[in-house]
Amino acid sequence: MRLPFCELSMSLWIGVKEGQNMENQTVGPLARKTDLTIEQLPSETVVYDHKRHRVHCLNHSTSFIWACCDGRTTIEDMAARLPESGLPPDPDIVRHALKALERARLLASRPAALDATLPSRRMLVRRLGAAAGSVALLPVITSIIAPTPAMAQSGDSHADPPKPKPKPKPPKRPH
Amino acid sequence: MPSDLHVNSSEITLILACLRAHYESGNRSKLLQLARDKAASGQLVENACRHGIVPLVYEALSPDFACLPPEVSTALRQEFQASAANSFLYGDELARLSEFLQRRSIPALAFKGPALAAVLYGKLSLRTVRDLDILVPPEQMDRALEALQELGYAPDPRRPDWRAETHLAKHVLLIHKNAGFQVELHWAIAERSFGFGLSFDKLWAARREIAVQGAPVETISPEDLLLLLSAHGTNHCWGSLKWVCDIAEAMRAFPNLDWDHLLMRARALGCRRMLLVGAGLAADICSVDLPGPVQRALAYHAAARIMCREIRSRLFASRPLPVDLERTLIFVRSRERLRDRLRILATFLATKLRPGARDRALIHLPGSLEALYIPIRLLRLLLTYWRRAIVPIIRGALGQVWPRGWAMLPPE
Repeated sequence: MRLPFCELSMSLWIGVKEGQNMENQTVGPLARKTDLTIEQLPSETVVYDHKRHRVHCLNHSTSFIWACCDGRTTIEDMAARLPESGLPPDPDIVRHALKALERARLLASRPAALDATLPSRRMLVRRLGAAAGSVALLPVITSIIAPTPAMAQSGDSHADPPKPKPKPKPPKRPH
Repeated sequence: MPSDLHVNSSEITLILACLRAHYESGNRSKLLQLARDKAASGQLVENACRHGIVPLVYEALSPDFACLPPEVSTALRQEFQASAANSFLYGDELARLSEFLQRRSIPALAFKGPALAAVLYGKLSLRTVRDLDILVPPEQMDRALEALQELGYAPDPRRPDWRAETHLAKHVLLIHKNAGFQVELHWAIAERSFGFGLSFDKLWAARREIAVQGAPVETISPEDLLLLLSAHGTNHCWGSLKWVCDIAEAMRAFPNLDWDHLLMRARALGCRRMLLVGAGLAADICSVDLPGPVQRALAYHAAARIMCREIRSRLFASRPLPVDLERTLIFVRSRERLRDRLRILATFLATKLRPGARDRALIHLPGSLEALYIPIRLLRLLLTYWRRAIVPIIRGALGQVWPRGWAMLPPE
């Protein structure tokens, strides 16, 4: 005997579970979005990390790749879209950008493809040699620690508190 | 576009091109040409820092960094990142303080600093921030001070006597004990001598809520902001381009402002000339389009146009900022009402005639004869400056009025 209601509810339940799985399943890299202030400038993206008090400047191509990190777009898909930012469709360029993004802690999930050995940046530049203009477009992230005004005034840009000054020794008495 | 803006330094020309590229999006041809002509050197970054406009220069030049010498682009990027980091940190701190004061039911208005960056530029990274400015009602001053002290702030130890001068000053500087954040806690928008009658109640009634780093922050209305920016620029004798850029940005950010009403309000407050000078500078330097009412008002206001010209020439000269009498005279010329001018002059004279430690060291008088210190001070100043300042002035006057032979007589 068939129970249409049960069958329907069962299929709905399975559908919901599958949908959840589809959402949670990250095929490609996923950008971190929490605890960040993101400001878009004409040629780059400025990111402030509230947790680590760091400011990152992502150049145009890195911003483009970071924007593609929605968890669904694969590295190959991103590479295919690279000509939109003036670069050739080379997956190694994407991997380099992802590596830099990961180092800056701007990725929520680490793609397994980054474990493979990457060609050096010099190799990439050599590969792009013919297209001299595109070398300047290669992914770059420049980062600084945001020093508090007190640290900036003391010239100390690290998070460590200043060491206490040693107590001056009492002057020796002349014999 | 400015017709008579003569600028000699190539760095200043490039900075102006950067500002105009920011305000006239799409007009980058001159900027690119200048950048390619190697106009940029270390002085570019130095001048941008001096005028507080590193973020705007960086925003304009960063797409074409390949045209700049590497040392210039690196220095500019470092300065920009440091400025952005500071703005974000102060933005976080403003969000924290606003929330804390709201919880304590202390009405507080944030103005300038990160609030200004958020309202005008829409991005904290595009405006340099040095401190936070928070305005509270005068009667809530002590409560606000206590609240901020709870958060780790303390009055600037270099000004221990700030309470004695509350009738003359407008704010107290608070410094965070650990982080070093600086907060100017205001009980008035300007010094009483400046005669800028925008009270807290009026500002509070017209306030608006904005988001700074995701937190709600109360700030002043666009109309009040423009009046305040004009007064603030005048108070600093328009010595920095960032104040001019703020006015330009405000004109762009609030395109639907009722300028006729604003000019009428400015007239009632006695700050119409300051507003016109600010708008005129923004149009000349940043190439923003002036709204119709301002254009018409400026066309009939020769004094404001002359002031614009003088301020412009001073902005790009390497002369130091005006101080003392020169600064006071600029304040006087910026005002249109006689009573405001007299008040500014009277305050200046009162400050200069107030007996100091040197006068008191000359002779000790009992409290009932305190007033005698004023003629003593006058006499002391006369004797001190007789040879240095007064004799040359008299000689100059004699040379002009008396026969030449008299003025040529050697001093005794």
